[in-house]
Amino acid sequence: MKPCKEFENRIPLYVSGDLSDDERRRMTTHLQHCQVCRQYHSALAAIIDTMQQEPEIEPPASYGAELVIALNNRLVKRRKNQRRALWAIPAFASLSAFLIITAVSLFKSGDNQWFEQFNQEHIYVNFSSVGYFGEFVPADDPADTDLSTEDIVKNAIYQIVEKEPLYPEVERCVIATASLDDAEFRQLVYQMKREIL
Amino acid sequence: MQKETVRQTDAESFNRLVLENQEKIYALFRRMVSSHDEADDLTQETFIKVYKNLSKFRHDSSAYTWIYRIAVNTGLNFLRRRKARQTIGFEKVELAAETGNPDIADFKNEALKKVLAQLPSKQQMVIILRTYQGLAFRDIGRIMDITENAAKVNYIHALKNMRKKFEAMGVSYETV
Repeated sequence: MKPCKEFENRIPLYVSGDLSDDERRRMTTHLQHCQVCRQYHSALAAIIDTMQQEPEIEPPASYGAELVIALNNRLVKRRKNQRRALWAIPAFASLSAFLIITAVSLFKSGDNQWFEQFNQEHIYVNFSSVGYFGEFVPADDPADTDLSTEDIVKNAIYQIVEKEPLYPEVERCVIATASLDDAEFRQLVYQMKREIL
Repeated sequence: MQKETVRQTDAESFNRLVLENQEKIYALFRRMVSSHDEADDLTQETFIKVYKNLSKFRHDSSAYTWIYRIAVNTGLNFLRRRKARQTIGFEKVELAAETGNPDIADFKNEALKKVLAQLPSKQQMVIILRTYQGLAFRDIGRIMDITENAAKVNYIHALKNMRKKFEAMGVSYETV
């Protein structure tokens, strides 16, 4: 049998102590006379009782300090990545105009397919849509691996630009691609590959 | 220099917020998941969101309520993702019911965890916040961005559903 309709929804709140004084008194009186509602009440009360008897959960003793350290480490990495991105944006903007010119040259050359293949064979980001490519460096933090294409592009440009002093050929290669034919371009890619890897 | 000082102050306030609230937030997640690592992941996810949104924090509500709200949303998203990818089986509990497991307390605790995990996300969250965390329905409403009444309705449905699920598993609470 089902508990009385009038009281059914109030019994859970009676169990949790959330009825007003008047409602609670009415419920107590009703339970004394209605066996079905009494059984329903005892079932719900037992469930809540079982839950409340479970031991309290406390984190391990040193958890608070460990959590602060872990969070601060993650935030330091995040700030570094943000600085990278911010630094890369002006570089990205200033390069864009030039890269568009490069792209036109590359698309005209009809050699884009080969270039894509090159990027797949090596861990290079496919920049062929703008006539540029860069080394992809996976993020240290697994939480940061879900990068958008734009983030990868920025990251790759950052890598190239920052490493420019180490690889002086790179910038010259990029600039040169605007006016190269296919064979010369392949030669430069080969040269870049040698310089970077 | 000034920027660094601001950042340092932010970091100090953030660390204080973490230390003051981590126990409750961890305990909330620990009721929802089966391992420390999962609870830790969710706790970290919550506090990273807290940090990202520190500038949006309006001081018209307490930091405690605000952090709880972020934690509850993180928890609800987790529960929805989990429900989408797995169904928790009842085999073990059913077997225990048939064979009359002598350790009735352990058996009921196990059944309780499974039943809780099967509740709709909001009902599960409300019953955890009310029963384990001892929050009032008014506060649960604020935290979950629902009315106090809606919090009560979720609680009522949660208990009803739990009883039905226990019955389906052959666990009778009437006899306790």
